[in-house]
Amino acid sequence: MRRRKPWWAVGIAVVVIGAVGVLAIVLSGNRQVLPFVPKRAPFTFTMGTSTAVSLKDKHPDVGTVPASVQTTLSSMYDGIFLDPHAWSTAPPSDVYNLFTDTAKPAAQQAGTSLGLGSLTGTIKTLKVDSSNLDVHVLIDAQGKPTAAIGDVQFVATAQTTKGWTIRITRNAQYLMEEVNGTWLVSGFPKTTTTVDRIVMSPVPAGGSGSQSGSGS
Amino acid sequence: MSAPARTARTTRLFAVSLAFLVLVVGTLVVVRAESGKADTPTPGPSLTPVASPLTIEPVKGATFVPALQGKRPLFILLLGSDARPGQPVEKERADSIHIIGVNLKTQHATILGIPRDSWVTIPGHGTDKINAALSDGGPQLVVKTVESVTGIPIDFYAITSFVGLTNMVNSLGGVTVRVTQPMHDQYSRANFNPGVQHLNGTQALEYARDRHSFLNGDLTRSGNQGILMLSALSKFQKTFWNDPWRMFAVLRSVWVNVHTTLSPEMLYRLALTATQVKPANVNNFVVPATTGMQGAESVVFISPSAKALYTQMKRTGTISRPPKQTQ
Repeated sequence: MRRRKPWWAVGIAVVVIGAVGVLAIVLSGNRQVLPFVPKRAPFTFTMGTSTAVSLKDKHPDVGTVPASVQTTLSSMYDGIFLDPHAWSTAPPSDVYNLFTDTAKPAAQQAGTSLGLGSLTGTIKTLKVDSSNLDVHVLIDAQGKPTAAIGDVQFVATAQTTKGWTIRITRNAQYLMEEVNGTWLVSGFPKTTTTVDRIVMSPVPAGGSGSQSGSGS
Repeated sequence: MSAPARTARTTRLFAVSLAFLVLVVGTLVVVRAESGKADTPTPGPSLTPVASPLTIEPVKGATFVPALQGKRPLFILLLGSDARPGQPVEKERADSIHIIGVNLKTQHATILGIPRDSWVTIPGHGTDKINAALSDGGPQLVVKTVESVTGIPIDFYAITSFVGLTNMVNSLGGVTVRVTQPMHDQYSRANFNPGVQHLNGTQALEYARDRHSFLNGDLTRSGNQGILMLSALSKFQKTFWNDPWRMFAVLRSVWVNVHTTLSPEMLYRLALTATQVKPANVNNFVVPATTGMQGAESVVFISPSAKALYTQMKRTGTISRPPKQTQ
């Protein structure tokens, strides 16, 4: 008499095959086919210096402005650089809520140009290497913050769909204005982005022959 | 089912559950680790740039600066007081009088100089040189007088002094002008040869004050003051586009060196608007006028043809063609 295969062995086999499949998907970086979306830790700019220019000869207090600017610009960069939607198609639409009513149409029109620009659609993964945010605040004669500028440096390494490793370096300054207690982006006068192709190498190549492009 | 059979089944169920749990937890750990990598700054010393035969397309960034919007033009009266240090800026005479008109739709602008010796009616004070309006009733009376003469509604005024002008030019790091004819004047101390000259604050004041180097004195001086404003606009724009946050230091210098009806917020918005107005789109004119005598005084008579210019400027904020000077 032939002995029946134990039912639990079949169960384990199914679970193992399923788990291996999930692992394969995760390790391949194609997380979009997962039945759940892994939660990303939100990006936060590393704070640099905070300076204030007062219209009066006092020692101005920047108060909570730098922290609020940090929150807004961190959310913005989370959307325009770190959200996988920005890698493939466009920044998520809620990014535009970080702009003032005046700046919002311009931001929406700019779309991908706010972040990855022509790299959109070519990015497979992106990791932040370093970031820095300096905040400059203009304070009126009564000590009230009138305007602020967020000066950011942002460096990330990305894998492209072609299999390249590129380093994206972004320097930008954002005009910020307070709207109902929150500092929002009111303008983006200066943006410079350079892209360098890099490879993993244990020995320094000793050359500066990387290709780069910049736009502002 | 016998007891040993039940025990064996329980053991198998436990083993299956444990295996499943281990796999699920392991999977989640890997997923989380992968996810975290996207957000956690990681040093990249092992990534060394190497030569690449491929050109990477530049990433072009977007640019937007919020400028003032409005259906009608904006008019600002800029005054230069001849107050010396220690004298009240708003109670001396106005050496320099300019209307700045800005068309907020087209971002075109016009600087219209009114010679300080213009013989006009000063509301409530009879007929006099327009520069007397400042000592008669402060900047508010100058505004009233200019509005009465031109019909142009003034939105804001700003008045500075010799020291104020010097400080503001210095805060910009100086300005560059093209001197068109020799300027050697002992009164203003202007000492410039024709050509492109970079002026510090003191030199800018000398350039703005010199009228003895020119045949039509006050008229050319008023035009030169407009040239100085245009040069300051260029320098401000250069400062802003190089490093936007440096604008704040310039705004502070303006604020402490002028008396104005502009609020700090309006000054900031005006500065942002100024970044959008190309100097090539700013005309610099002086009202058409002739010099003459009124009793024993040397004065300037504004030409009747000026009325058409005022009308155009009031409507559009700009004057498209240079007025024909009769002298």
